[in-house]
Amino acid sequence: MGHAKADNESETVELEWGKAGGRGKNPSVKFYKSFKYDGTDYAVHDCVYLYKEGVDEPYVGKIVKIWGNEKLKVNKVKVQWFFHPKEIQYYLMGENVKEDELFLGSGKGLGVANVNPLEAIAGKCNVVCISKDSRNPQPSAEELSKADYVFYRTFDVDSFSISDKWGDHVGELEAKFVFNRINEISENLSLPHVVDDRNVGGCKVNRNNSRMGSSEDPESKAKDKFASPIDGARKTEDPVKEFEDVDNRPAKRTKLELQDNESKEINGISLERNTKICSSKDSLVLAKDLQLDSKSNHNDVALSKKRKVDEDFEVGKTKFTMKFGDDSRSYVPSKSSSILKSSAIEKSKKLVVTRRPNVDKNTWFKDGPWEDRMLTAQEHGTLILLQNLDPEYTSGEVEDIIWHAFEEKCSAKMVQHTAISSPFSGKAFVIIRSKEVVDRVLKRLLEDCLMLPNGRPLVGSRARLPKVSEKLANFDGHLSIDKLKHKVQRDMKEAVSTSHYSQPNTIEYEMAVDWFLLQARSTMWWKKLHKKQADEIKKHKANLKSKQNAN
Amino acid sequence: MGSADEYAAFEEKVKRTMYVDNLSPSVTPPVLRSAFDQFGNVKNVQFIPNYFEPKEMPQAALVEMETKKQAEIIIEGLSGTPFMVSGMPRPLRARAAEVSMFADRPIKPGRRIELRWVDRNDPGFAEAEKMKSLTKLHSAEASFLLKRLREDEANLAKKQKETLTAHYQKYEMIENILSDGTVNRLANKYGMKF
Repeated sequence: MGHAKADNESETVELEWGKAGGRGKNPSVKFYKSFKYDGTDYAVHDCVYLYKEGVDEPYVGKIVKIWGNEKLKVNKVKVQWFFHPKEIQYYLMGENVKEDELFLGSGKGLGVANVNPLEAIAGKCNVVCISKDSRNPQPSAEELSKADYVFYRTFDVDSFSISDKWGDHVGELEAKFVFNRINEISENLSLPHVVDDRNVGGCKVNRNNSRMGSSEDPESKAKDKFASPIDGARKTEDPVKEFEDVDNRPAKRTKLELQDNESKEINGISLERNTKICSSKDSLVLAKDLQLDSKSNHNDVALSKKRKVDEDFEVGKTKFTMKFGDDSRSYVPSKSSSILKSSAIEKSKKLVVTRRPNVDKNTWFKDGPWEDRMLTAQEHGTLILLQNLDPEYTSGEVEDIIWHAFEEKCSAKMVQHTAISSPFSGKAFVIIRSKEVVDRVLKRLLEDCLMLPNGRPLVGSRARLPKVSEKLANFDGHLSIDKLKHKVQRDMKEAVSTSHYSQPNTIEYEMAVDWFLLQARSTMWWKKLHKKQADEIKKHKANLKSKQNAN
Repeated sequence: MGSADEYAAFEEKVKRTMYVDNLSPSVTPPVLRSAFDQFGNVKNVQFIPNYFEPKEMPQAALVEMETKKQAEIIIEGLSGTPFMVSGMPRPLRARAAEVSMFADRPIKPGRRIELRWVDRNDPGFAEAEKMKSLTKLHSAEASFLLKRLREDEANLAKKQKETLTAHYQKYEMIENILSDGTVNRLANKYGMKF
């Protein structure tokens, strides 16, 4: 398990130091708070991939410390590890593990953190903390959908135990550096994870909270302490236990109100972070005296409610509140900086989907029932089926997506999910105005990939609806005795309701139990299938991420 | 602001709604409503259209109850005891509804959709292409499984039909020999009292 791919690249790749963070005892050692490597900015507390050839899932860690030794010309990062469930399978004891869940290493001892060559970093990784801990700003649905991984539990390398309780320190990190920073979104996919210090007492950032360990490489990470089981687990490629559906994690948690008022809120919130990280002077001053006047601005009310942010943020011993409204202009610096940053990172091909113009104004033209329109569209070849959508999208949002991606109006209908629908691929029927446009859309979707926020490409195909059979065949599982059919039908007409609970001493009960069995069995089938598919999707997603990040 | 309230209200509705399937195509909204009105107050019934299978396949529906509690109790009840609507013996199956099952779901506040075109020059292109074919594979797998499920259902129904017919014939035979005097004649012949 040597180092990640890095070494051979190090000669060609550019490294640029960011803010200095002081000197070590050794005069040639210099600490840094951030650096730019291969075009990507990294800062302390960012989560990164440490990629190693031949391992199907790259290691993920959080940067604790960065330094370079000028004399020896070596650059190091100290990384606190996240564990993949696979790696600690032995200790999970059948715990339910979310599909993209990681476990943050905690406790003291080998395996929590290692010093690695800086060049071992393969890219940023977006790890979102979904702990319900009051100190943790809950991620929005969007943040979740962009997350490469989520975590809410720790793995203690001393006691080999899993815990979802967060103390003041986790391994080498103070707890506040573990939780999400507010507003990670605006900074693009992979964001550093630093601070939210609401409710965290004594908010001084302790940069020296990590002791510099002796040089260890990633290899020793698991090996030393976790000699047999874990290391074994790392090698074997057993599928991880009990995944839950992931892609459409319905994100019932609180969400940031982003839509319209987004920028404002982001400003307000990002502020705190900026004071910590960018330490922009403006915001620093502001942070001392933020006032959240929830009445001054509706949006903010929504925000504060949604996020369950009480009106008081306790930071240290001072009561900080935020004020939007008039003061919001003071946030402009932080706003523009974060937006600039994100747009710089964003590839030019990125489209942000907003509501189409005149979306609710088609009152002058009433359409017939959807089913009829769909059939007509099928005849004309203007009906397509989209897949891979977030199952929670609304039909309107699908129309917006088509509008932004192809500049075509259409009518869309999300296929309503049932018990057997794929939990990660939402489908939608779309009727487009002409066959030519359909051809263009499908061609483009086939040749290029339109990546959705869930990290997967939109798949389009011509839709084929099932043939409508005229006669209503018998429903499998509802039995009747032919000779009595007539009578039964007459009875049914007279009956007000023909529903009942079956009594255990009847033949129908016995037969119903057979159906129960079949239903239960099929539930298992679907569960298994969806789990397998989720695994595959996840693998591809990770590959995609690491490829794009590596580049 | 309005949208947040709207969404919160919608989420409440989701909580008190049951998803019911294994319904015969002959079940209509009023039938379903009266079936569940026995246990509580049905506020709304909505069938989920099935665009991928022929009409004679089982239907699914959303049944909104007055309270979350009512829905939970019914779901619990239906999982233990077979509950049949408009026919026997195939029982209904009920579960808690999910957001993605509703046709009229509002847009989730705060959701931002960002699209990105990945073309041939993008490092992730090959992987994204793979994901596209994976999606198709997955949907083929799902159709296959569904086909298998429908076959199993048909087989079970056929088997039960045979059992039922056999039982019926047996009873019919007994009834016939009782009513046409055969039993009495046989009893006389063998000197037995009947």
